[in-house]
Amino acid sequence: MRFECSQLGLEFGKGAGRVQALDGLSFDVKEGEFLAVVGPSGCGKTTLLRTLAGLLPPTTGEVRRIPAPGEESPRTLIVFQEHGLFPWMTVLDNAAFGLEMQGVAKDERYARARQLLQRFGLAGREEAYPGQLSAGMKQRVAVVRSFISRPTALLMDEPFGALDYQTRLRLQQELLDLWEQERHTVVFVTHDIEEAILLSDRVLVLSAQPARAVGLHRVDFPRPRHAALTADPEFARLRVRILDELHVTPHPAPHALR
Amino acid sequence: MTASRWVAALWLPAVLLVSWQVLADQGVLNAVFFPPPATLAATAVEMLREGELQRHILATLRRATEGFAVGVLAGMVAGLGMGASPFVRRSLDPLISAVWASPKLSLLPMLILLLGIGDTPRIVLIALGCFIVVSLHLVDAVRGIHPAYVELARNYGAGRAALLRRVYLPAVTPAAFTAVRLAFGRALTLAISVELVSSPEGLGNLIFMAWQGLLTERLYVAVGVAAGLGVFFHATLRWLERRLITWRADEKAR
Repeated sequence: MRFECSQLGLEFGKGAGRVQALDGLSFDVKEGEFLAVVGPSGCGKTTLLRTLAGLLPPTTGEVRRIPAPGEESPRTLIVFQEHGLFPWMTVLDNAAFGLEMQGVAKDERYARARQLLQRFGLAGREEAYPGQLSAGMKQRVAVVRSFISRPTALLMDEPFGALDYQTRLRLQQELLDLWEQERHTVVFVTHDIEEAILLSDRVLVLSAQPARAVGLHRVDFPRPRHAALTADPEFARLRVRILDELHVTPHPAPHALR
Repeated sequence: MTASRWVAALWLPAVLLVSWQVLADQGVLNAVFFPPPATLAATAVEMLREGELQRHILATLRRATEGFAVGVLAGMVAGLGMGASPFVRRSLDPLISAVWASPKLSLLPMLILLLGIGDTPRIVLIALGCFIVVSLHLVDAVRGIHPAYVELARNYGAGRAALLRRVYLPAVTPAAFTAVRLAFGRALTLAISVELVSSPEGLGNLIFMAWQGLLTERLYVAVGVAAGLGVFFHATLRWLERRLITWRADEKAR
């Protein structure tokens, strides 16, 4: 599935309390592309994802969701940063929830869930409840559930935002490995620029509210990728350019790096 | 329960009982008005041997259970309906608030006029009390479900039936259990209250008759049994709740 967004605008509320979240956003997400979206906190990144998913109709402009040829049941799944697991279901039931909704028989969906949970280091925790897991483990389960459901597009809303640095690095790597096999379309919202560059094919940079596109960068590093990439000078240059666009470069701006 | 928790739970009642016994033996307390615990125990044994105590306990329990069953069932349906539909909530809210705020016993004469003399108005009154507790708890529980969970389930293609079965019902189960526990306490107190006013048998009737004849031993035995029943059922339902609800609701606070 690919997306074409033209002149997206979105407003909340009426009168004096009116908030403009998105303003004239035009971009596309190609088939099988990993697009990262970065921007300052509260700039409307989550709103953008919900609009892409069709949960929020835009006030102006339009989102076109175009299935790939031969794709009969387009499935756009979201991985939320919080409240991503049902606290009343075990890890296994949470992981298999998407398959359950697709009508996959119990034995088969459990078998598939167990397999992927094991790969994500959750073997032995299948019968635990989310309340008994660490934040990192919970996000792993959420990622497992979304991948196992074979989405045609995956929208991820700062899925690793609440995690400590090391857990985040490990999950980024796991996500990279898994996605490089599947290659479905991903839109990945984050405020972490390194994460955006490391994972994506392109980075879309948004301004503070209302969100406008202030930059769009191709990330040409070969795959499979690894966290060591962050030490590459080209990586650092791209990072500084994005920081510049977000107006958070420390002064004086290191233009010498360009 | 560990030994220290038993000690913590029991030392105060034990001290009170022993002081009561000692004060009555010393003549500080009037033994006619406050017969000492040993006398009460003997009276209770006597009443048990005659089968009188069992008869009253069973009458109260039967009445409480019948009202409880009807009230809880109706309360669950109404609570879920009110949680799911704003129209249903707005329609029922004024009535439920009115009944909630009025002493239930004051409705008994009206119920007797409406339903006739007999056990029906008593049981309906008890059911009404349980209904209020359960429906109010469930409305709040349904409305308290974080919308993210509903959105999540929908995102994975859940329809109405799947939402009800996999999200709404499990999400409100802890609150429903608390409501059921509170409702049973309400059913017991209402049953005894109703019996105090109008009933040929039951613990409330026993208390009333003992009071009329100033048979203080029987009075205290009946009050003690009523309190004991409350403690027993509260503890049992609590234990059941902990066994049955294995996930932790505090996950929501994350």
